[in-house]
Amino acid sequence: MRDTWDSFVKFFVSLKLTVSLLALSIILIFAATLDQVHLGIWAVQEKYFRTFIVLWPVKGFPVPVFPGGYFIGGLLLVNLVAAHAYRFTLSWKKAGIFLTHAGLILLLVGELLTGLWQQEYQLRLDQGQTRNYSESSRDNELAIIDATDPQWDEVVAIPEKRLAAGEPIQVARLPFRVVVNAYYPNATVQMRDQLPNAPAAPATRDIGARLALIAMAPTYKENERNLPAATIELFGPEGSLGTWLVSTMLIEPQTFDYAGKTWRLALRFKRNYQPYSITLEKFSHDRYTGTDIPKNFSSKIHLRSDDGKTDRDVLIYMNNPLRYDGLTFYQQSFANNDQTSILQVVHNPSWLLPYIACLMMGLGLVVQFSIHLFGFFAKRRRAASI
Amino acid sequence: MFLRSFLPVSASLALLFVAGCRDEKIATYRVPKETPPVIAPADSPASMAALPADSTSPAADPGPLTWQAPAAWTAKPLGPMRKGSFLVLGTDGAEADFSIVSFPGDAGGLAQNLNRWRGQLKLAALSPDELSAAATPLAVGNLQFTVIDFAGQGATGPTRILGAVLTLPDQSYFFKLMGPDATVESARAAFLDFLKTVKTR
Repeated sequence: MRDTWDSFVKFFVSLKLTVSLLALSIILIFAATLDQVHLGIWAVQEKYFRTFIVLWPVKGFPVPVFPGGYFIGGLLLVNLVAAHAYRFTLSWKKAGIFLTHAGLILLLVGELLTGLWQQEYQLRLDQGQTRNYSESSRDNELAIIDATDPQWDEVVAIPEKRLAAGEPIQVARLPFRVVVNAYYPNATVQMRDQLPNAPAAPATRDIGARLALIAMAPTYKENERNLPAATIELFGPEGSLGTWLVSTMLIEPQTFDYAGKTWRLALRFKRNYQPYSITLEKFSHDRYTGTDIPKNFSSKIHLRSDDGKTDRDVLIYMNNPLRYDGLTFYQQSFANNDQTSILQVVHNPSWLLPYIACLMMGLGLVVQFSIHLFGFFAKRRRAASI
Repeated sequence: MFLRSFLPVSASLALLFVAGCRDEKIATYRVPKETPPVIAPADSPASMAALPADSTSPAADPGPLTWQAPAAWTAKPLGPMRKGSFLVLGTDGAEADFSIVSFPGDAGGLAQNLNRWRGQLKLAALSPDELSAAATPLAVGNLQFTVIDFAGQGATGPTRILGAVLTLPDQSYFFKLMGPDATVESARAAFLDFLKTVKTR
């Protein structure tokens, strides 16, 4: 038992492990950089870094081929902490080394937390428009809305990944079960009567009975997004209520009545509701006089919280985001001939950690260098005085 | 020996796995009732009577093109998929709709899309050769537009479509001015002037 424990400890505190992990991370970054051409930055991050194992499809089956970023980074973190705990001796002479390594540990933890917690949304506003939610740039959700109440909507939001998993979904608030008959990560829809040789209608209810669904290859380009679709069947106690085609291309929710209530159904960009609303008062796209060269983009918005405590105008422009209620609103883009502003909305509770980590590492190196430098001077003084 | 090396690795893996698990939970919440979105007329190559969606490109993507609309045109709220949307008023106050949408690739081909526009005006489909003869090429800088002018019947009477199709390497843009015949006719010069402002970013 003692032997096993010793080998356990030695494995984690060894410098060999550190070097091996650093070598593996170099290979991982190299491979990911090459693959970024095919997948784009987001998919590469998910495939190589925010995963334990890198999977490679071989004849359609994902085969683990290499340790992922979480695995390598996690082990590095364990290695670093364990080595310090094992060899720890409190000494001022090592203060700089402690500080530098503590900074490194914080950097690794910060990246892990960013990976776990960071969420990115977009807030797209036409001039004069008010919204109290932002939409995910990549994630989608199936919203099943109880719209019976004249003032409120009761929303059940099912993540797209649950649809992709294909398992029946039962939610206590819904009087029916949701069964995913088919799921398409990227698809377009067209009216059947406008297509020669249109395939069979994918659904029996609402607009889906008149549409043709055309599956498309998923896109990995940074400036494009996949528009998923699914055919879902709802089952009440009496049996099937019908099948619906849901697609992010369909903007209007599909409405039906069941169990004395009015329901709406929509596959949409994942929404993040906030207890405040933002109105775009004016979007400005300034150009250098006499040219089309952009000088500045800015959005004048009005921020109003539901509790009435905040009610003010804010100017968001490049490098001057609005930070409010744990979210950061950046000026990201614009559309519709300068009539629409697109704000990037980022939720990252650990955004300060990398800054603190770099500060600690920088300070640690300065301290350690200074300790050696002053030690060297002291030594020279002693030598000279002899 | 195997046990000795296996134990630490598996223990650390388990630790990391617990730390790294992300859940995909179903959320339930209540929000104030939303007013339905203003839906622009359906006019995409997908052209769906009840479908406002009109592009497969991302809602957030401003696209590779810029343009400058005439001051007299009023910008309308976009469906999330429209790249541009304007209200064009005729001298008699009648309204025409100008839309800009894009689709990946050739969106099913030029002939199919032009015939779809003809279908909206209750006109018979033409062969690709006949369509080529009916279309006018327009070069703006390095951009090559195919401009068409179809007059037919709409739901409210004589209706005209002034359209332009621009095929880029990986996507196609459709510029369409549709409305009462006289209104569209009076906006012809503005439409052509507008096309001349289209540039790549």
